[in-house]
Formats: sequence, C-alpha cells, structure tokens
Amino acid sequence: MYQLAVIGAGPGGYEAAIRAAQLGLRVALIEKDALGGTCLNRGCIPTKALLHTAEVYRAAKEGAALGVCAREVTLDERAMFARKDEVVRGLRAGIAQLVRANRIDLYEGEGRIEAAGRVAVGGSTVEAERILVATGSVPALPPVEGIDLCITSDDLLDGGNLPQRLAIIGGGVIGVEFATLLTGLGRGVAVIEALDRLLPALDREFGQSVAMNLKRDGAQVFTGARVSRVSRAQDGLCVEFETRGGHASCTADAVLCAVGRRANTGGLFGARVQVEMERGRIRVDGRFETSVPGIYAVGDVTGGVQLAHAASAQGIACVEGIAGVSSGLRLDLIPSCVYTDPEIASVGLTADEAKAQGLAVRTGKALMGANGRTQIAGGARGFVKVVVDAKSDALLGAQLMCGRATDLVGELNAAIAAGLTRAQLLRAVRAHPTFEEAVTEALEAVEGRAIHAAPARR
Amino acid sequence: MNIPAELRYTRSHEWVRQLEGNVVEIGLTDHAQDALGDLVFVNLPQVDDSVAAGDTLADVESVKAVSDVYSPVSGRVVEVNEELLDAPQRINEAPYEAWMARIELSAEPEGLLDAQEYAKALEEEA
Repeated sequence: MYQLAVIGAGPGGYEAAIRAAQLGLRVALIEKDALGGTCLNRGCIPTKALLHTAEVYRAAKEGAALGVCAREVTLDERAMFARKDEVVRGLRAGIAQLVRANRIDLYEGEGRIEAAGRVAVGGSTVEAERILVATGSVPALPPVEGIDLCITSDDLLDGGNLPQRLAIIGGGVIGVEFATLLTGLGRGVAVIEALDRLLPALDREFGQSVAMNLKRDGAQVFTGARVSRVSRAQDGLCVEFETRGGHASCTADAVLCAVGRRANTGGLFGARVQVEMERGRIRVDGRFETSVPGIYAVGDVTGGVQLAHAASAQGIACVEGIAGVSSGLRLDLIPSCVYTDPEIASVGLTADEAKAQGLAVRTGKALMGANGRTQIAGGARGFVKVVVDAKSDALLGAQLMCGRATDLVGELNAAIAAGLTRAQLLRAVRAHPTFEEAVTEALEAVEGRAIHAAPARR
Repeated sequence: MNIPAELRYTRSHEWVRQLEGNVVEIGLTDHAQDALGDLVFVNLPQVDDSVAAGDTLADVESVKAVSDVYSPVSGRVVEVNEELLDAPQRINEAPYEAWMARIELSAEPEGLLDAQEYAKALEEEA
C-alpha cells in the first residue's frame, strides 16, 4: 500500500513524486512512455536543443563579420537530431537515477484508475491512499477539412526529414518557436494565425516584434487568418484560409498544426470512476483535489497555463498540501518564455492587463539599442519593460525581449513574488556589461531617469 | 522643414488632418521624425480605444529612444494604419502620409495650432 501513486512522469508528476518522497511518503510513479513526459521528450528540451543548433548554424554562417571565417557551412540534419536525442537521453537518465535514489517505485505501463485508491497498471494493481494525475496533454487538432494531412510537433521532433517549406497553423508559442527554428535553418516558413497577432496570449508588442523578425528572416506571416482547408496540391500541400482581405492560400511541403494542446485523459478512468471535467479538462480545487476525494490532478491535464514549470510547481504544492507543509509557491505568478531570436520572457501583469483590471500603474521601458552587451551580441532590436503599481511602487510585471531574456526574467519574477518595490530593486548595482543593465534602465525610466535614453520629447 | 498649410498641429509635434464627417487622422510632423531619427518600431493604439486629448496614443521607437505620441484630440480610435507596423520607416520617409490612427471626435478639438503658429512654435523651441 502506497501513500501516493502518481500517474505520469512528466515535470508535474516526477517532481511531485520526488517531493513526496522527500517528505517521507511511500510513492509509486506510473509512466506508460518515457520519463520526463512531453517537456523532456517531445517539448521544451528537444525544441530548444534544435534551436541551439539553428543558432550555432547561423552564427557560423554569419561569423565572417566577426572574424570567424568558415568556408562552407552545411547542416547535417542527422547529427542535429542525434545530438538532440543525446541531450534528452542524458536528462532522462538523470530523472531515472533520482527516482531510484528517492526510493520511488516506478511502474512502466498505462495507469487506469479503477477506483479511488486503486490504479491498474498492465496486469498488476497499485494501491495508494491518494492518487495524483499528471498525464499532461497531447497536440490538439481542430475540425478543419484535411487536418489529417497535417503533422504535429511530435512528428517534427521525431526527426527524419525537416521540410524545405513548412506552413504552420497557429502563431502561439509552439508555432513561433518552430518558425524560428526553420527560418534559422534557412527553410521557408509561413505562419497562419487566426487572431489578429502572433503570440496573442502575451503583451501586444511581442506579437508585432516577432512578426517583424520572422519576416526579416524570410518567413511569411498571416494574422487574422482562419484556415478553411488543407489539401494535396501538385507540389506539396495547400493551406487555404480566410482573411479580412478575402480568400488566400499557401503551399508547403508539410503543414504543422500548432493550435494548442488538449488534456490527455484517454483511458485514464475506469467505468466506475466519475471525475468532474470542464471542457475536457479535469476540474480541481485550490488544493488540486478533483471531485473524487483522494484523487488529485496537476499540470496540463487540468488546463491552465500548460507550462512545464507551472505543472512542477502545482505538483510540489499539491503533495506539500497532502503532507501538511507549504513552501508558499506563488502559483499565480508563472513566467512565460518564448525561444525566438531574440528571446522573449514575461511575468506578472502587462500594462494592458493592469488597465483592464482598473489598476493605476506606471511603466518604464529600456531599449537594448543602448545596451553594450546587446551590441556585442549582434545588436538585435529589443527591450525590457516594467509595470509598477502607481500607489505602492511594487513591481507588478515585466516583459522582456532581448538576449537571455528567459534567464533575465528570473530576477523580476523573484522581485514580484517577494513584493519588492521599484525603489528596492534600484538599490542593487547591476554589473556591466550585461543584458541585465537594461533592468536598471527600465526601472529608472519609470521616472524618466534612465541614463542611456534621450529625454522625453515633452 | 515641411509644414503643410492644410493641417493643424500640436506643440508636441503631432499633426491632425480633418477627414470626412467627424473623423480626423493623426501623425507625426516632419520635425518630429527628423528629431527622432530612423524609426525601427511603432506601437499603435487598438481600434475602439477611447482617448482624451493629451493622452498617450501610440509610441515610436528609434534605435536609442522610445517616444510617446500624444493624442491631439478626444474621441474613439476607428482605424489604425497597420502598414506602419511592418514599415515604421514610412514615418521618416513621408511623415504626412504616414498617418497612425483615425479618430472619431467626441469633442471639438481645442488648442490646435495652424501651420503658421506651428512654424513659430518650432522657431521658439530652437
């Protein structure tokens, strides 16, 4: 008899299992596929590994201007995917080791909840006081004619041949990262987004900036474009869509469907288990308990922000709750990172969101054009924006598009989580030359006192 | 410096063009684009945004500075010039063609300058 059975060993499940074990619970971890889940095997890690190749490839091709002259730079796709697989394998082995070291029993097979406290795995039954569902999500396919001709991120990451021309349905995070990858490798890309801008869930300026950058790199970007049909054409696949300007289409060798991910609950519940769902997702309360006492759920399978670190934090908070402790994680404050070129990161409120909530805020923005480290790294356009409570001076949000934005956001995230004010953040002297200097500048810009910015026009 | 006679202006270097009915078009003056230098990005308002005269309407970015564009009038944004989003340099190339937003007035504009007055204001500023 276990105290906790976790179904799904992705970032939500395996981290919850380890924390539970650290807190003294006897834990079973059930996984039908590979340790690490979507994030490690079909998501975050493999995409970033491939993007790293694209970055090095471009650096090699453009190195002459920096004094690095490579005669003939070519791309070895097989090596690129092999290297990605090696990174994934290494990290997977690390998780396996941690699971063993924490004396967690790993059951390899598909878990099916037969009743509260009982999970069938293959031929055996795992009994546990509590069950945590962390089965994640799978790519969603919209009901569009010809959608079965499309591939998903799973297929692209498997390797084989990357298409010469890729059309991407969906301009969210997954769509723009694959667009960045393919343009970085010199391939043709068309992004087709139904809403009026790319990255519609994030600050307006990101979407417009990413569209500009992708076009600079040769991609086509269609926004406000609803896909009506995918069909076979003479030289590939044809995607037809409706825009404000009328009917349009583009042709590609492959069409990636990246419109989002849906909760993965197939085969999860036995006939006698009735867990309340909401639009296909498992509904949970503030402690991540479902409508059935003793069955909990975290991560993508519950909907929400569908990010690995959100799932991990929820899993940890959930088992801490079960064990009666709390590390006070701010689950409402989840940073978003987009691995475009330059990187994008965002945490907390945007100015528009604050306005919509009726909050009086002040904002400051620093441009990377004035940042030395940015110029050294190639001078891409970028910025750091901060949103500050007009009354309390507390930092409420930050939006960054710059080199290492995904790392830089950490300081601001920690500051918001700790309730720090702009004045407190300005006590820190930031090192030179770094991308992070722009944080000081953005904070100062709230009062119009950034050093490396021309005074306002009025 | 080009200051078309048929437009009206603000001291913060926006121009206002009267269109049919109750709608005006807003842009940045030749002087403003010259002072800002090469523009690399523009943030436009959204259709249906309400603005009051003096509010920030948009912002434009050169390599080293972001500058707010203030609304010379009060009203509701009915159209934005999306072409500028991909080609902010249009503001440098043709400032009086590169309108940023069209606004349906909610009140009669106040305190706008005519071309002569704006030219004088520029002289005083210099």
